[in-house]
Amino acid sequence: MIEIGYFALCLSLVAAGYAIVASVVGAQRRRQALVLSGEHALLATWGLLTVSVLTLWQALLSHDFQVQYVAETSNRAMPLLYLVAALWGGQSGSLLFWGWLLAGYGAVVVLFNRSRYRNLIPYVVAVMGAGSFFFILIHLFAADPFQLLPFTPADGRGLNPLLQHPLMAIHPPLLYLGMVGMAVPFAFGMAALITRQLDNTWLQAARRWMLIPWTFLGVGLLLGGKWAYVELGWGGYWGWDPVENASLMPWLAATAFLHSIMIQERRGMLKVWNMVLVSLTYGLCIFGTFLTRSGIISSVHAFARSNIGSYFATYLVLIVVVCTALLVLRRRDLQAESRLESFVSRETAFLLNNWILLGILFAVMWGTLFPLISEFFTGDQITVGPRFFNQVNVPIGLVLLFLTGAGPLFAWRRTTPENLRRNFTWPAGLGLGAGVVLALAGIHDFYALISLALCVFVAASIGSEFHRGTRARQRSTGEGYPLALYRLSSKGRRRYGGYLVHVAIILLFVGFTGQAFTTEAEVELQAGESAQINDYRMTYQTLANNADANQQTFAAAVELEQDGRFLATLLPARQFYPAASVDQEQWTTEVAVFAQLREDFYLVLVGWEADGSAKFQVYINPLVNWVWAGGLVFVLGALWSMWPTSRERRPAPQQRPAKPDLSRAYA
Amino acid sequence: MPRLVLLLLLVAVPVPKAGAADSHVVKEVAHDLVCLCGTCNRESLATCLCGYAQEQRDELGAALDAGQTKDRIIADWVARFGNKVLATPPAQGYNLLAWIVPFVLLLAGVVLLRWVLVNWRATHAQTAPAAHASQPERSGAHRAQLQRELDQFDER
Repeated sequence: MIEIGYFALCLSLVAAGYAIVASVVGAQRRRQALVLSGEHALLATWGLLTVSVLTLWQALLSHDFQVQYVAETSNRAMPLLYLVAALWGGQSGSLLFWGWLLAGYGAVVVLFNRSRYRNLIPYVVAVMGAGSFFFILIHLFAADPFQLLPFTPADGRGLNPLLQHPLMAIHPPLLYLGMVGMAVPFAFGMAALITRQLDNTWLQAARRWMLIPWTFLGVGLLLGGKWAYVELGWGGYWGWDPVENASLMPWLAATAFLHSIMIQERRGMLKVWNMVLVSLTYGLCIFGTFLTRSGIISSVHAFARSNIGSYFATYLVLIVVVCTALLVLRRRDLQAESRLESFVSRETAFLLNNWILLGILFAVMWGTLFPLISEFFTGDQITVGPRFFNQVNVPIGLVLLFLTGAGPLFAWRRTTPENLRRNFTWPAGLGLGAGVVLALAGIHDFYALISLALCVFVAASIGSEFHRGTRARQRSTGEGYPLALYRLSSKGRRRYGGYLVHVAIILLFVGFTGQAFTTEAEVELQAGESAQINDYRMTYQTLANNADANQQTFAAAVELEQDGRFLATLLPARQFYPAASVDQEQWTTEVAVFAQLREDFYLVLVGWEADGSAKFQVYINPLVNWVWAGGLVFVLGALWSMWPTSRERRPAPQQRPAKPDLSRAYA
Repeated sequence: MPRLVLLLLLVAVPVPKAGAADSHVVKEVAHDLVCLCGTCNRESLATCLCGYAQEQRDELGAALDAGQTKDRIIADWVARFGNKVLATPPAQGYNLLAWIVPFVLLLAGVVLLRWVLVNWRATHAQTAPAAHASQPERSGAHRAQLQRELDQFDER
């Protein structure tokens, strides 16, 4: 049975290779049939990889422990959900999953975009095919998921207990959909460079194809945070772990790209820079995978050490060389079409945005790599913990927050002083006012004060953008305010969807700021004893135990009151996984959280004694729920922004006679 | 019920008795250190849940009870385990680079940005008319109308 998966994998390598050659040769010699066969070969690659993935799933579900991957990541006691999730719970399976998603993206692009982007598609297929080819090489020669053991074990070792959580069934696929999908805008960029069709056509495709994985990646990051929050039990949701950083970096680069392409679309500037950004985003996806899969950096996500690092390093070098060469070759085609009219303009604001986003990106990269660099040069092992990343990134992040509010207040090309004054007066006034009020109300933490004041400033600036737009629409159409607001937002989906994402950023920053006011305590209680933490009173009642074949759960029942009012009975727990405890005892933590809009009461069961006493870690985390709310608004804003307008749903523009391109007409 | 007690006894996670030092103070010191048990991936000593981290926190508590200052305790820990026990690179010597480089890069970015902006205004002032000449289909009237509409759009 498993041979089918391996055989399909071998065939998919041939199909991907053919897709590259047929597309390129077909495009060069203008043989439409050859191009078409290349497209079909990419579809076939995806189909064959689907067979491979289904085979591995089948092996997992049927407990075929002769397959090494199945024996290492599953066992008979695991529930169905985690047997399915085990596909991405280990090194070779998750790489196969990655390769399958990549080919899937390629197939979707072919099916949906082949008529719209007729001239670009052959090279898009070639680049996507090359990515698939590379991953299939890894599947076959470096991390074979179908490797058989010389014997069949009676049972498997089981999935890493930390990963046995419902969020883990959904967080990795979303993250992968994000990281993998960034290959598509990259492919369009490369195709545009190769074909010299460097007008706004590729940008249009790249923007849409960047928005989709960017949204997936953003949600994936937040769900990962949620998982860490409820599962790792250290009281926070973002630990600046190398794997978290590895997926944050491409997200930051993609965010920069989504902003700076607007300058190119409207002003025909930054053409080289946008190519650099789209390549950087893709390169960072590969770099991040290299960093976390090769074992050169240890992390909670540590995959087994292996030799796939050399494959990724080679591929990365190849990407850098090809991108650089293409950019140099096409430099004359990438000259700006207009000049900067004023330093005080939206263009400058976007450049500042790119500057600060890349600043954060490089700070994160530097912190992630510094232990390696330091050990290489001095031999001294050091730790670069979350505190480092927070201290470095908080001031830079605040500049980003300021720019989020200030950027949209600048007009394109030139902002007059009176315009600037008119746009800034209200938001800046409200922000300053909020700062004064908060300071008087007793918030003296410098960064927290600045952050909250800036949040008000940004909220006011976005609010004024919506308000002014709605008023203008009302004046010209006579519609009522709500209708005008709705029509305004749906006519300018990109713009107002973008503002909605900015609202999400505000909510996230409010949540981040709450971390400045965390209360921590460690308490040890006898059954029936109480402890007072801030205005909460917790009473430890009893320890209970429950076991199934997969795990044993020990939960403490704790009654929680606030100001004498009963809130809930919390059940913080620790779980023991006998099957996974071959080398060392495997425990996981199940945190109990009582969440309110103002703050979370976060309770961790640390341990217990035979005399019935138990030890707890308590965290009171203000404003954490704002982070999750921010995630929700982020999705809404992103969806609003990428939803096709009625104009975009019309037939492909290239099939109609060329119209003057209004967006570049200033030139 | 006896089975439950037996099970609890079997797997009870030992909880060392806390010292007299306030848990807040212990945590404050522990936040500057990481857990080096080898499996916890250098999690903060203040939050780590493993048995090793708990023993270390108790040691910190004992040192505080003995009247040692935070700085003294941290120095002791570095002497025992090396710099890697610190949660952040020490801001001295070679490791100062960790702290400085991000901000140096940001400043370099400002300089680069300024150069780009000034260039954009100066150089393209000369090349821009050439670009116009290559697009003869846009008549003066067309351009003027565009300009008006775009101005209106920007004003909004």
